Amino acid sequence: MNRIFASLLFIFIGVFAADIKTAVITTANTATTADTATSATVADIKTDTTANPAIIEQQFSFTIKTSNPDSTFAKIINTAESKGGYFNNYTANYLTLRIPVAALSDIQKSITESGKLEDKSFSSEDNSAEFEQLNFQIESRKKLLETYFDLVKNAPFAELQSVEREMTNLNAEIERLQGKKQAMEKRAALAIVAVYIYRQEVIVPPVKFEHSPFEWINKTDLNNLKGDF
Amino acid sequence: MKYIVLCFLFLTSCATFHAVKPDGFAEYTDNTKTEFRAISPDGMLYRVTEYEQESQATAEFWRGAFLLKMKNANYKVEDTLNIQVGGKPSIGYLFSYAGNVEESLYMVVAVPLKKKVIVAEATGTAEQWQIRKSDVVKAVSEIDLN
Repeated sequence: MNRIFASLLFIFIGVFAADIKTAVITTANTATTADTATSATVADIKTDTTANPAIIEQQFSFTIKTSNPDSTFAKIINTAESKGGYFNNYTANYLTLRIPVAALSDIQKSITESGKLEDKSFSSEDNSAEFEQLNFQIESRKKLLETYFDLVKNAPFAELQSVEREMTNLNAEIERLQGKKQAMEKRAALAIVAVYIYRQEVIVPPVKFEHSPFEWINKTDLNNLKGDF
Repeated sequence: MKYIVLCFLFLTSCATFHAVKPDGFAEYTDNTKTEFRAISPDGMLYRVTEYEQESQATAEFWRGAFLLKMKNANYKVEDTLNIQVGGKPSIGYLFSYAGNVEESLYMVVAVPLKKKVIVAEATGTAEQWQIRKSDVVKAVSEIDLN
């Protein structure tokens, strides 16, 4: 029994030492960079697609003026949904979307063509280091789990329960870390696009209205027609 | 004498026109002899109205007077409609209104008669007009002038 506990203790120390080492070595650039640039475009964003892909959360913001906010929002949402995105917040003057990174240039074009562009900004957060750390943590726990499987085969009956309990806890922890990793990947795959809209009032030049002497001509009017229903 | 009075009353109570609703529209139940209204499921409006008009003038006169008032009221002609109504030529136009941010189009088809003018109107968005234009124009052409 003492030998089994000693083995377990030795393995624990080995695994968590590896975790601490990776945390110290990996210097993450996790600071948020807010870069407001009127000339920033989607094409400026480059994603590293090599063996260790960068996990970057991107956020875009646009302010446009249009005479019909509802119709403009409908067009933008249609474009987003046709490209595999969706909206997750929608008020009279504000819309947020989650858009696949590959479709960002299409949605930007749709937004800028929908009204007069007043302002735009971009920010990003690089979570690559934290993602890599998660990978290491998951791998190390999986290795530990394999070791437990081996121990279970030869463990005395009295020790079996405690080993199984440790395995259950370890499984739960692996699942938690994998969930966190998947959430991070999803946040990087779908950029946040926020659209603010201001209603552009139609400027009507002063009209010299002439009252016609004929009743049917005076009453032929769009407001009169709508008021009659 | 009684029969002469009854005939007179009957003739004067006759409507000048009989309108039908465009395909896909629903007719209002409180329509009168001088006003017919119908509406589509997506909110497009259709109305035919009879106005008394004692002054007699040529079609060109009415066209000029009508367009002048519409121009001064800030309407813009988008299209000219040549529709025969009951075998008679009409004054027909499709307008847009500068002050309307909902982008509605407004159709007017007027038929001057002896002492009356029959005016058919319709309004809807550009999309609705594209879908329902043929039904509305058909309904206008089928207005029966008594």
